[in-house]
Amino acid sequence: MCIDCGCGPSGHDHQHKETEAPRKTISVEEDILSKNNRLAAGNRALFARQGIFTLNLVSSPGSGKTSLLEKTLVDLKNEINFAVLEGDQQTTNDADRIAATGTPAHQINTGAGCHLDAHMVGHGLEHFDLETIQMMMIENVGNLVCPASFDLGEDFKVTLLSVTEGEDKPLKYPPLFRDSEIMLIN
Amino acid sequence: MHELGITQSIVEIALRTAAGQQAKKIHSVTLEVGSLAGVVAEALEFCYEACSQDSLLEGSVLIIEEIQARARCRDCAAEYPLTDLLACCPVCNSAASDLVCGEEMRIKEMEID
Ligand SMILES: Nc1nc2c(ncn2[C@@H]2O[C@H](COP(=O)(O)OP(=O)(O)O)[C@@H](O)[C@H]2O)c(=O)[nH]1
Ligand SMILES: [Mg+2]
Ligand SMILES: [Zn+2]
Repeated sequence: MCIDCGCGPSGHDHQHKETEAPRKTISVEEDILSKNNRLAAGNRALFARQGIFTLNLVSSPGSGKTSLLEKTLVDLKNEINFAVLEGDQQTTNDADRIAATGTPAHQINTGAGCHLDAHMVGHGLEHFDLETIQMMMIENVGNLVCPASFDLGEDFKVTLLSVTEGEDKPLKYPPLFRDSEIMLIN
Repeated sequence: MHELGITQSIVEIALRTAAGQQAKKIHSVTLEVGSLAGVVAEALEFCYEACSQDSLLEGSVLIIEEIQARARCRDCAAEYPLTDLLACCPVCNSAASDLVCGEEMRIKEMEID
């Protein structure tokens, strides 16, 4: 087979022009998100090893993710050891709200970033004593679009929809809703 | 707008592959992108031009091939193209389905010298 043009094994019945640079097509077949997916698989393996159940909470900004977490933590903290990873572009407001409930919390600031990725979460986990944690809640950056594409290593993705956003939001932003194992209406 | 981060991954994989092949020039990079992958082709093209500057990728063409999403009905196992994310099974009208393909995002091939 001609390595320049990839033509068949049946002999070379054409000429490559001297002047024409030899082009060849090479097969790559590599997942573009492979780096994120590999890191997410690492996070997932770590959670499994430590026996930690993990949820990735996604919604528009202001749907009530942090409020739901605050309530849940206060109600269940005597039964389950929680930890919370918070994602926002700026401020530590949400991690501060969580810490006020007595739950270990770490804030990830994504700056210009529109979603958390597996790399940020992997480093975020370094701030916890994982041995003592049974359930990890990850609050993603408020965004109904981008978090759909980025696996963090969670067990379930949970989408929150508050009624004031309008009942047509799953129709307008279907991928995230379709991708979620759990959907809550707030 | 996470197309920038995705484009940086494309550039990283393409340059690594080209180096492994001792390529002197890259003519094109072909992607396969599922219709549900959640990326906008125009935004990818825009970012690609910016990210490929001053590298072996400068001047190369980004070719994006769309893969139509397909679903399999959980009730009757029929397979059908998913043109609308909330479409029901054309055979039995069930809304329960699993995705067969449509979320992929990969570099298929490259043309190099
Ligand atoms: N009326 C009402 N307000 C809520 C509810 N849940 C959250 N909020 C308010 O909505 C605003 C945004 O909530 P927050 O939990 O910060 O949303 P997040 O951006 O998704 O984390 C805050 O002012 C909350 O007090 C609810 O169930 N009912
Ligand atoms: Mg919040
Ligand atoms: Zn059916």
